[in-house]
Amino acid sequence: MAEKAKQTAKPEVPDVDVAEEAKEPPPVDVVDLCHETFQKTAEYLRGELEGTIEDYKLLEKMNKVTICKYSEMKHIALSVGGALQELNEKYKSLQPYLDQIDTIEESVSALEQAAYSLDHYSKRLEAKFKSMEKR
Amino acid sequence: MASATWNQETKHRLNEKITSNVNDMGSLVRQITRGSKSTELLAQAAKNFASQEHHIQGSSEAVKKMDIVRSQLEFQEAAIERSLMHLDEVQDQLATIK
Repeated sequence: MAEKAKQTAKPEVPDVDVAEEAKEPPPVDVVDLCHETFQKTAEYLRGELEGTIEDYKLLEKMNKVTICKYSEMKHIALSVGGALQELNEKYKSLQPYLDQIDTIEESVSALEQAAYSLDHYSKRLEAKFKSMEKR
Repeated sequence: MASATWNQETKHRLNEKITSNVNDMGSLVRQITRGSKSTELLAQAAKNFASQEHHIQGSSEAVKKMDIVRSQLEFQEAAIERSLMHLDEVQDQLATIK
């Protein structure tokens, strides 16, 4: 009756009795040696993968260096873009003055032409005066 | 101790089994890495990266030159602004001459 109660109490395998084999605990040196064996095996397997790991590390380093270069370029390009926009605005504000400079340049050219004509006329006048003086 | 009760043959077989298992694990790992072709792919990626380095360097230098040109443009704009201060004076003199 007690056994039947035990059997019905276990929900997973109600019809099977589970028994454990009586074992001695493993010796300490065997446990240590097993531990060392598994450690060394893990190191060996890690060593097999070391080449691939180093390749990945190299790619990671190259990627990081490239990221730095690109971020530097981005920083410079942003500052250049902002500065050029400001310069465009400033040149737009200077446009009336540049138009005035054009007007001044035309006036100065006309003045220069007038000065040349005056100089030429004065030389002709001088030459005529001298010829009249000789008579 | 339990190990003392084992005979030499059992120990020898156990040793061989463990050695064979470890060698098999190593071969398995090597086969996995070879089958995934990760070495070739990673080497190719590193070569491509290295080949791009020249272009990246050229772009970086071009951007730095642009920065220098930008600063020169700023200097020139400042000089133009300073010169424009004298514009009124020049216009007055021209008006006088005319």
